[in-house]
Amino acid sequence: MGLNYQLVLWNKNKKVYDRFILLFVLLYLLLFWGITLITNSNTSLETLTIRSSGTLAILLLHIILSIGPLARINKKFLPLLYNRRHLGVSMFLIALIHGGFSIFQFHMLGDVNPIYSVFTSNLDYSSLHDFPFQVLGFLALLILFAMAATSHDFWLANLSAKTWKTLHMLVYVAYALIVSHVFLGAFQQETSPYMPVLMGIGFVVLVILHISAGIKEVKKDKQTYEASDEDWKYVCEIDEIEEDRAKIFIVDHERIAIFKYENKLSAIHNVCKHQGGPLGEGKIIDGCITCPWHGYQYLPQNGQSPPPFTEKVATYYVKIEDKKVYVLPKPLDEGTEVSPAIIES
Amino acid sequence: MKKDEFYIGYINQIPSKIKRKLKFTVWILVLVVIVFAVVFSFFQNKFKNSTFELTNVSEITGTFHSKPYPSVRIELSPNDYKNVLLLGFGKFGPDKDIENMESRLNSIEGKEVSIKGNLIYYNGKTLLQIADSEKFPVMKKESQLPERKINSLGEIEIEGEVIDPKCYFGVMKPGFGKIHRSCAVRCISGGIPPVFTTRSKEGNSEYFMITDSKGNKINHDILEYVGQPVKVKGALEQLDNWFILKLNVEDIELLKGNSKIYSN
Amino acid sequence: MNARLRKRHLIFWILILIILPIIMIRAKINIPQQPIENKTYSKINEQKPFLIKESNDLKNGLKFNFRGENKNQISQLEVILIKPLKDASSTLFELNYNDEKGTFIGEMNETGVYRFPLKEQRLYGVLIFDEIKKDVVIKKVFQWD
Repeated sequence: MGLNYQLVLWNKNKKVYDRFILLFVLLYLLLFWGITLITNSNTSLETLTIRSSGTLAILLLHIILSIGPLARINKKFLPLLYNRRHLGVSMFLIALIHGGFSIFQFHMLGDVNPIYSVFTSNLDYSSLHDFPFQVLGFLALLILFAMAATSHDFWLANLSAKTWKTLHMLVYVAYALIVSHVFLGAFQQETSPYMPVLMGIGFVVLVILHISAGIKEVKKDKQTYEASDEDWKYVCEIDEIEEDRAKIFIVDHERIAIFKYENKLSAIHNVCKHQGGPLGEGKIIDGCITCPWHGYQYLPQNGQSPPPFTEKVATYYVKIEDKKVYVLPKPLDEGTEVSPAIIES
Repeated sequence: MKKDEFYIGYINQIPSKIKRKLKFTVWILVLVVIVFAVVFSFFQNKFKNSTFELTNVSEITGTFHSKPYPSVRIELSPNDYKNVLLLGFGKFGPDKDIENMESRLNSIEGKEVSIKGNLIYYNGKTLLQIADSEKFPVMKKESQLPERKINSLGEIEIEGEVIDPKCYFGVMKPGFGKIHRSCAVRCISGGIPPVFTTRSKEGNSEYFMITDSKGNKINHDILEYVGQPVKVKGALEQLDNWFILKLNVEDIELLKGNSKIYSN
Repeated sequence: MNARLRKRHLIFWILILIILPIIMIRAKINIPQQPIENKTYSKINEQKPFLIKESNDLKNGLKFNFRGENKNQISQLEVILIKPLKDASSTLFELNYNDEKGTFIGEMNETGVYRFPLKEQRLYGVLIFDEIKKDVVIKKVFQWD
């Protein structure tokens, strides 16, 4: 919960994660440079830098985009999600090397401003295979920059959550721009079929992952009541809820998480205030509901984060009758204290 | 009771089952990294052995001619001449450097000069990026060489690509085609003489300095045709080891693509 | 993630699913073909007597063919340059018996076929010399039996 202007709240897992990022980056660059210098030695250092950083950035983007849906499909991928933003910023830095060197190599030391040259050296905007592909890469880089620059929680708090999320969903636009940049650029001249095939496989994998995760979620969303409904709705039997875990109940396509702990039941809104994680898939640790994505915590009886933190989620009335759990779908104001339903032994 | 494992990022201890699955995932990622690196590096098109001697300064002695483009004509062996095209720094032609030289030496047209610079060469063509024309002294003498002969070879129609010779014969890998197009446009726009290159089915290339139909320098008018397959028409001339093509810009035809793969 | 965001994700991915394959496929099938120009303008000596002896230096991309009327009347050295030489100029000289630069034979430029008239029977060897940088590019000695 890093609102207090600290750059990174380091912990052991983040350090290990970052070390792995560094390791993978070095492994990739070593292999790429080594193989090129051995099998195709007439290359130049600039070309080598541009190509290794560009392809590495694409690889990282594929991995980053896979983490979200993978974590929905199987919880074992949650550790990858925890520090995903470091991966994102790293990817931006590598893409910046690619973009920077490319602008230097192809547009600088000439008779016009290099950025102006990026947009005007090729004016075939109406052609497909002649399209000025470098413009697509430049725009993608701008998006990635905006995302990296606002990746700190500070921005999440100060831009509204909606704005921040909208900005960060532009990653999909960046992905589309980058695929187009490669296919309308390098792949118009590199003749090997293996490269476009690999990118095509990456595309198929990402689409399958996102659609599978999407279908899984849509199935859950089938049941729906009106959120304003004043009637109690049946959720499940008490025994269906595991100790220190929750049952997720769908209302108006929104979700309520009903937690069982210390012979009590409390219900809160399913969406974590931090990055929208599924609180109902979390666990009660030390008396607090803990989000499975980044570990944000909330007290079950009032949906408030334990001091000194200030996040609050909406709470709901819950009751038990005949060993059955009922909830009132109308949300109370965020942070409202609600007496938990007691489980009679 | 079944162990209920839960991962919390800021708790150092990772539950064991999660740890095991994580290790497996990491190994899969290593594999993915290796496959990507191998595919994108190994299957790159072969680079040419063009050279730009960035760190080595050479001296060329020969007769300076400004037409069709500034060059120095040197005698390699008796009756064996080679024309070295002159270039400026970065994406610029040699005009500024020649101005500097002529401000000190007056006109050097037709005179023998010794110019220092960085050599650029590939596939039988040699160019020189003039080094520091303000500092290095440039000598001027009467030319020892006989008049140069430019032979007229008639009208031709030919297909190929317009490239910029500094990048193509020098350090750009590759120095032609779609991905180099912006740079070629920049270079030619900056005064570097445009060159036409062709390719035979055996893979041999020929090179033509391009001028307009009157034999004058052509830069901005040709920019929209650079870096793409084109068909051109014009008068062919030969000057020692170079061809000169005096073409009509209006007659340049863009060759639209079909499904064959572009290769070089 | 709430319902609004889920819907947004769905829209994005439907768009990606439709638009990207179109771009990818059209980009790959629409690659402009590099024109093959079979007319050449460099003058090659049309005379091509019988091939008497072949001697190759494939590592450097060179093929040397001695041609003539018969074994005792070698009149031409045909040099086929397969890949570009990496030098600022390539002048071909005869190689003397003391491994030094001998008579000038001719100049080579682009890859292709070169045919030089030859007076010397059973040439000891050739030297490709860079007159601009003043260094030896390739030295080749021929084996005659």
